[in-house]
Amino acid sequence: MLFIDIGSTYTKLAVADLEDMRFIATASSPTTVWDVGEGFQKALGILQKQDVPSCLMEKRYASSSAAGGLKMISIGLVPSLTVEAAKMAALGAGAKVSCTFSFKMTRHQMDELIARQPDVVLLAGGTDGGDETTIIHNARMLAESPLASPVVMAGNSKTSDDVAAIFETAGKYLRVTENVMPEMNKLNIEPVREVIREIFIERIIAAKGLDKINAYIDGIALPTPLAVLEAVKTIRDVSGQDVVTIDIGGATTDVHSVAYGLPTDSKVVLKGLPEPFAKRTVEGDLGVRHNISSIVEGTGSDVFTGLIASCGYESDESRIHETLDRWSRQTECIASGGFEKCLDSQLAFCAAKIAAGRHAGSLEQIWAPDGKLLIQYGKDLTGVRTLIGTGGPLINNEEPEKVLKGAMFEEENPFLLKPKQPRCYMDKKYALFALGLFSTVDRAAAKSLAANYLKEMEVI
Amino acid sequence: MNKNIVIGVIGNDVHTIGKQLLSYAMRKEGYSVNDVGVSVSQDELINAAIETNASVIMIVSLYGHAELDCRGFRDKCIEAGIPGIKLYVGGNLVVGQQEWNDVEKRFLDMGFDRVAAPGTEISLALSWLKEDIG
Repeated sequence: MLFIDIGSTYTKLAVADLEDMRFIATASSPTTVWDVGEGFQKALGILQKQDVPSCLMEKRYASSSAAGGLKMISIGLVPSLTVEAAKMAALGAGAKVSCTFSFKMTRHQMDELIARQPDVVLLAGGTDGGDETTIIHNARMLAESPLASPVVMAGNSKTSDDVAAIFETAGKYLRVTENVMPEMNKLNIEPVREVIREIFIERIIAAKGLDKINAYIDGIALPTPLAVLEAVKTIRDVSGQDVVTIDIGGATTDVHSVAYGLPTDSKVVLKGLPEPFAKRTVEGDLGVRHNISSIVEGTGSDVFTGLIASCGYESDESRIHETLDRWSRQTECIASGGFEKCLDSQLAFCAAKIAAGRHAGSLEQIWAPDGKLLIQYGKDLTGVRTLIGTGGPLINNEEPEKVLKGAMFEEENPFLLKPKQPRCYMDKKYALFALGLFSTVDRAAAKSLAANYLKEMEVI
Repeated sequence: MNKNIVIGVIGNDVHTIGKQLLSYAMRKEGYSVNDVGVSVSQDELINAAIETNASVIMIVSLYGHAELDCRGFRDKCIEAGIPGIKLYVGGNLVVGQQEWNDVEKRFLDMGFDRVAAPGTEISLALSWLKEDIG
């Protein structure tokens, strides 16, 4: 079976032998934006040279990261409630959330929304039977605007008839689905995720010209980030243990956790909006090429220089700056030589550290009349036993386990609930997307494939 | 008025049982109860009320520091666009042996609509709800 990932910098292919339940070959070639078929055929050529039997490549499934990602904007009512729920739903569907809006939108905000050219807009607000005025106001603003993107409504279900009528009158595309937050602090993101996936396949693929690939395959099934999340879910199923995945890229760093993350101590009180079992976060400011400066800033430039010095290189700031500047301008640059490789590793380490820190939950200590209280926000991932690394900068790194350390628990920061003693795994063949695609085709068989691949991925 | 209620234990207080009993009784009476949990802030209660379009915010407190925790609550509601929402508070609101009438007056002055003394029967709270929101 042949799996294809198109639309990101590289078009990647992976072949699985379903007798053995193993990935037997992979290949990649730069994505050709003018006609994605070209890049695909080049990569296919590489596989053919490796003598991969063509009978294994007849059945073809594809995922796509939609040329720059599936850009979404989510709208809700209260920032910490339906806005956050809508954002989590969009991220869980594999989208990049470029910004969010809360309460009643103004014309100025609507202009900003349109200027950002979202692929899909997610409209939430109000629990079922809760607030109606805000979502109806925002629906009117969207319907009366020049916005052409599809809108998904996942807010107060009592308003769905009114919202549908507003869009129908305006002649605009709307899909209504279940509320992302039907009751206070109850998250319901699966229906939204499914609708976004359908819109992605029905509309976004063609809108970005990616449907040219249909000449070679039977169509695109999933957005790539969603495929990766599916793979992580399957691995969680097979291993029976909670999993965290960190995907470091040139432009973004994604973190997935498939874990309930409930408090490990009975004295800890869990607060805030519950988080999805399969949670994905995307850090758009943490790419190891496109936003080097925010990684260095987030780390602290003194600290960063110190990290380089700890690798045995002199803390020559001008040399560091010169190299980082060059990489920021020429984002396709690959590190060569000891110094550059060290710099590259430390960038990835810092990206992993910041991204995992934002993804993981935290503890807050407060003093109450009857003693110390610990409040937990988000997921407690300290007990996670499986940590998987993926993404070009990590896969091509010579010492990925050092980079993955960034995603782990820090003694000096014990209130940040990152994994304490996980085993490290690397997506060496760049095949997680393929495993995820296969999971949606045949879940039972995908488990055997996952079990075999997990053994291969282990970093010793 | 709709029958949506937001309830939570305010401040650094984690005593949940009174809140659970009240929630159970109110649900049985047909109210839609949105429980935001224990150790919640003013903002969490107000945000929940906005999102659920609640008619009542019910604040529960047992550890004696409710006065401090509730200070400015009505003003915050006005600021957040829900000036007319009914505010209930009850439990063991203050420490020491204080005259109940004084305590009640202080909370009424802070903008609360109903103030329940320690030992108040749930049936009384239900009758207040009936009167206030039906």
